[in-house]
Amino acid sequence: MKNYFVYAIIFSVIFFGKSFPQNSFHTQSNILIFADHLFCEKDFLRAIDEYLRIENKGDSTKLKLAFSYQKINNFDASSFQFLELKNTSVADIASLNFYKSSYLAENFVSLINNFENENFISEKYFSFISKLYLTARIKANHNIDKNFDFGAFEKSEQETVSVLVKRQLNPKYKSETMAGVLSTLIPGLGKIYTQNYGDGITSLIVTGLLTYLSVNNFDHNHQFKGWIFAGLSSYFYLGNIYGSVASAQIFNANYNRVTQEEIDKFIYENNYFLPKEADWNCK
Amino acid sequence: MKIFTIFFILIFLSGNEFLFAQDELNNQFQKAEKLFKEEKYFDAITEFKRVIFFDSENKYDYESYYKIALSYRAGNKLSEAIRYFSLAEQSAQTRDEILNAKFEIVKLNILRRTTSSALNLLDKIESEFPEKQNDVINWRGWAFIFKDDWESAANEFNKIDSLKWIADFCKNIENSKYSVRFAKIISYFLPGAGQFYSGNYLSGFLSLGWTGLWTYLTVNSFVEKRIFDSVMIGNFLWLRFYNGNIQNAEKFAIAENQKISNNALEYLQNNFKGKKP
Amino acid sequence: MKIYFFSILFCLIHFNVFPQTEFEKWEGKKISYVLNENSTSSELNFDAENIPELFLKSLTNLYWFFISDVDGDNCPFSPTCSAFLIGSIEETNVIKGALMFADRFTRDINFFDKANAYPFVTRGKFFDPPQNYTLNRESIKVFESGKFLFLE
Repeated sequence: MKNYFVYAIIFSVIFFGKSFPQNSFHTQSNILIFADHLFCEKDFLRAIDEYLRIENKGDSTKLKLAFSYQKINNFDASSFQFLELKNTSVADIASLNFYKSSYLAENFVSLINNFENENFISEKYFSFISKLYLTARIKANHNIDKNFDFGAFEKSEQETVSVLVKRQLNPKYKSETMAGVLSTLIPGLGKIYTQNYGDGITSLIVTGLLTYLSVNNFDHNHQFKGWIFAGLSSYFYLGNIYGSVASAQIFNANYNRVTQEEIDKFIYENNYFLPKEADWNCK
Repeated sequence: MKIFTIFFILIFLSGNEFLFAQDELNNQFQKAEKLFKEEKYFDAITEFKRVIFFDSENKYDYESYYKIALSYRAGNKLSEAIRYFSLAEQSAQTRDEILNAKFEIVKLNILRRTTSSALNLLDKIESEFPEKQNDVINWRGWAFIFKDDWESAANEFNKIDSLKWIADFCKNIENSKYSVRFAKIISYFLPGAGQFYSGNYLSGFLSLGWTGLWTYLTVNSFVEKRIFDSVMIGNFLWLRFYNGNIQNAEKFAIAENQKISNNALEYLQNNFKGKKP
Repeated sequence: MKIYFFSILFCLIHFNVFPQTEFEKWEGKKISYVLNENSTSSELNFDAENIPELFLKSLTNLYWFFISDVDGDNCPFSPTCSAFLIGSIEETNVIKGALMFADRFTRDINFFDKANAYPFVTRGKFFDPPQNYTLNRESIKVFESGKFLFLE
C-alpha cells in the first residue's frame, strides 16, 4: 500500500517535472529541434541564434552552425567554426567548407598558405581541395609559371584551366608607354592602339582642325585668334596623350576583369569543387 | 482496485501534461506578442516561428503568420510581409480571417505601388465577398492615389457617402495639378511660358532670353546675307535652347506635380484618420 | 481542386526557391507614402582648396546655371562633362583635371562607336566616372560595356 503511494509520488513528480519548467519550448533539446527546423527553412540568421543557445553542441550541430554562418556571408565566423571541427567525425566536410569559406571571403593568400602547410586537409576530399587551391592560385595570380601543374583537374576541366592560366601568365596587355608615345607622334594613334578607334579618329580630327585654324589665322595675320587656336590645339594634344595612357590602363583593367570573371564562372559552374551537397535530414 | 485508482491518477496527471502544453503555447505566444509590442520585430518573428513549429494542433498558425507578416511590414520588408500574409490566409479558419489577410495583401500592394495586382485582388474580393464592397471601394481609391491617379481615386471614393471628404480632397489635388501638355504647348509658342506657368520664373526668363538672342542673331545674319552664319547659329544654338526650353517646361511641370502629390500623400499619412494602407 | 493543387505546388516551389534575404538583424523602419523627387537643376557648389580650383568651379557653376540647365539634356554621359571636370579636379589637381576634361570632351564629340565602349546607367547614360582616368591603377573600376549597370 505504502509502496503504491511512493510510486505515485515518484511518477507524479516525473510527469510534473516534465512539463513544469516555465516553457518547455526553450529546453536544450527543443531549441535544437527548432534550430534544425529554421536551418531547413533556410532562415540561417535565426538558426544561428538558436544554435548559439545550445550549451553542449554535437559535431553535426557545430557543422550546421558553421554552415549557417557561411550562408549569411559571415566568412570569418564560418572559417573559425569549421576549423573547430578538426579531428571530429565531420572533419572531412568541415575541411572542404573551411577552404570554400576562405575562397568566398577572397582570402586567397591564407587559403594558399593553409593548403601548403597542410593545415586541416581532409584526405578523403584531397583532390577536391587541391582543385580549389589551384583555382585560388590562378585567381590571385600567385606563383604561376610555365611549369604550373594542373594534373589535379579532370581532363574535361583542363582545357578551361589552361586558357585561364595562359591569361594570367601572358596577359595581352597594352603598354601605357607605347600608347603615350604613339599619341605623341600622331594624335589619336595611341587610342587606336588600345582599340578605341572612334576616339582615336576624333582626337586626330580635333587636334588637326585646331592646328589648321591656328596656322590659317597666323597666315592671315590674325595674331590673337591664331594664339587662341594654338593654345586650344596644344591643350587637346596634351589631353590626347594623357587620355591614351589612361585608356591603356582601362584596357588592361578590362582584360583583368574578364579573366577574373571567367575564373569565377569556372569555379561557380563546378560548384567550388564540392561533392554533392550534404543532405541535412531536411524533409 | 487501489492499483486502478493510482493508474487513474497517473493517467490524469499525464493528461495534465497536455493541458500544460496548451498553456505553454499560450505563454510562448504571449512572449512573442510582448516582443512585437516592444518593437523588437526581428526577435518577435523568431518567437512566432517557434509557436508555429511547436503548435501541433495549428491553433495559433493564423495569428502567428499574421503577426510575422506585420513584423516584416514594420521593418519595411514588404515582399516578405506579403509572403507571410498569404500563409496566414492559407491557415485561416474563418471567413473574416481570410478577408483580413487578403486586405492586408492588398494594402501592401498599394504601398509597393504594384497597383495592377492590388486592383486585381480587389476585383476578386469583390466577387467573392459582395458584402465587403465598401472596403473594396475604399482600397481601390487608395490604389489610385498611390498610382498618382487622383481623378480615378476621387471617382471611386465618391461612390460612398462616408468617404466624401477624401473624395473632395482628391478632386482638389487633381485640380491643383499643372497640365504637362499645356506647359509644353505654350512653350512651343513662347519659350519660357511653360516654366512661368509652373512658377519657375528664373528658368523661364533664361529660356526666353537665350532663344530671343539666338533668334535675333539668326535673323540678323540672314538679313545681312551671311547665310552660313545664320544656318549655324539657328541649328546649333537656337534649336538647342528651343528644345531645352520645351524639355524644361515638361520637366518642371512634372516636378511641380510630384511635389503636389507628395505633399498630399504626406498630409494623408499624418493627418487622415480613416482606413489607410 | 486544381487551384489547391497548384497553390500547394506553388508553395513548395516558393519555399525551395525563396532565397536567404536576411543577412543581418534589422529594426523597425517607417514606411513613407512619399516618392523620391527628381532634382530639376544642378547643385551649385563653390568648395575649393585653391584659387585656380575656385576659378574653374565658378566657371562650371556659371555654365550650369546659365546654359546647361536651360539648353536641355544633351550630354550622353553620367556624370556629365562639367560634373566630370569638377570630379576630376576634386580627385586630382587642376592641371590633371583639365587634361582629363580635354580627353573626356574628345570622347564626347566622338560620333562613332560609343554604345559599345561604356556600360550604361539610368536613362541610357554612359557610365564614365573620373576615378577611372586618374592614372592611379588602384582606383580603376571597370564593368562590362554595353550592359546596364545597377548602382547603389
